[in-house]
Amino acid sequence: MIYVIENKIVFNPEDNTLSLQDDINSQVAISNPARRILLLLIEHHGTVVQRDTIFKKVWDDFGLVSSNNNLNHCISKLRKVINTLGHSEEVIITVPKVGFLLKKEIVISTRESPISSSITDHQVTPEPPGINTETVCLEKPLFSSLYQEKEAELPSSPVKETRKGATRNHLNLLISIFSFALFLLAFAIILRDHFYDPKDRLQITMLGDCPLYSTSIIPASQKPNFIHLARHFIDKNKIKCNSGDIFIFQSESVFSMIKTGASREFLAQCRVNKNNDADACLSVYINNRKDNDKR
Amino acid sequence: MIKDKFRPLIRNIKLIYWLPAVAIFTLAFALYITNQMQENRSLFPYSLACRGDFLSEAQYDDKKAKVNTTIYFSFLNENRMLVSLSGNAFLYDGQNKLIEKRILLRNIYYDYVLENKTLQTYTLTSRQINVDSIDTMDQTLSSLVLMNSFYISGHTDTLVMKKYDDHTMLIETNQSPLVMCVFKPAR
Repeated sequence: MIYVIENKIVFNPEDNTLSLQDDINSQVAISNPARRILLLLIEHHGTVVQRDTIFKKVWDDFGLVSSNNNLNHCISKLRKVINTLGHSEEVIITVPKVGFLLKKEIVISTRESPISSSITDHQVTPEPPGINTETVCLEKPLFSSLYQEKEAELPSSPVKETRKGATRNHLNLLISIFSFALFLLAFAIILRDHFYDPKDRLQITMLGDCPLYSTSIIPASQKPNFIHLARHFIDKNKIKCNSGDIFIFQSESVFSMIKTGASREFLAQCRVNKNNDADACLSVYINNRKDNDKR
Repeated sequence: MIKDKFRPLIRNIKLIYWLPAVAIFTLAFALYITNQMQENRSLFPYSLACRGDFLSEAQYDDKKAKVNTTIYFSFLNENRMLVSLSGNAFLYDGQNKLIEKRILLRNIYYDYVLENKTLQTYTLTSRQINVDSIDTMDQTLSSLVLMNSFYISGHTDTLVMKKYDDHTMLIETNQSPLVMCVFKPAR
């Protein structure tokens, strides 16, 4: 679709140009943002287009940095081009602190493009060689405005824009995955700590229905001996395993390589609630000094 | 002025670019919370009393001594601690015949010093022993099954008192665990 402004100026969005209807050599190239602004104003001919709407539809939706300066610059350049093409009346009106509108009295007519009209907004034909290449306003890619201004001064090629879009999609995907992984990690840490039971690492085995814990870390090689001593202690002292009880056992002989003359053994039988937290404990401590007496 | 300069930039950064920042903040918060919880976990709940039932038996060739008692630990102000004992002590001969039974009902006030925070090692010196009128414990039986500081005022014993989990405290000598008690709210 080609637009004719006041039956005089031809705006061809497909090749990003403004020109006089009867003078092809008067063609002025405009940048993609400028083209999108002009299209937007034509679309809302006679009504005010708010600045935020322009920001979104001209820059944000294309992953570009929008700013008041950039918008004002674009509008100013568009006015200058229209003026250069011999239309001295104000076409684009500023509504202070609100936005811009295309003057209602301006006549806009349309006609079909001689070329294929299937070109999308992202696929802009490159600037034809040999025409006036005055650029209307800057196009700043996100996060690269500081060092890509020179590059942005020229209208983007369709290949470049498509490539940018693909790169942006990949970046977004990576960011999403990375963020999701971090969220998962954070929740895993919180949940792990919430359900962390310090005595879990001290559980040795099950004796009937009752889990058997030690009071300190038992080397793997000592576990069979530890279990044997615990069983012997429980049997000898006729301790019953009731449902919901846990045993915590320790024997001096597990860690000692010599006979010290005393054999101290300890067993706590604790009643635990559904969260495995003890609410009452009975401790049995036996100090067998018979060996010492025999010496 | 600086705010005005950055406002458009902030506004134009899409939601997806805030996601990593929010995720990193959440992760940092989770790590902070976890660290705090671990620190709190290692601290004693000095405001809570700890109760447990305790059966102690000392076996010799010619005799055996037993004590059945409930034991109550309470941390007081100014590095003081109260231990209350209530139960019975028994003495048996070599043939396992009961020859003596004594009643135990006393409060022992200790001054404690935390000698090593990592090892949770405390020295406890009994400063005051309040013996109930029905308490008939004697030194001989006490020395067989209980710590000396339970009977002798001014005596110092060394104990390791450490949290076993979030709700229990394990009281040990350097040789062996003695008693496991459960933290109970004061009221």
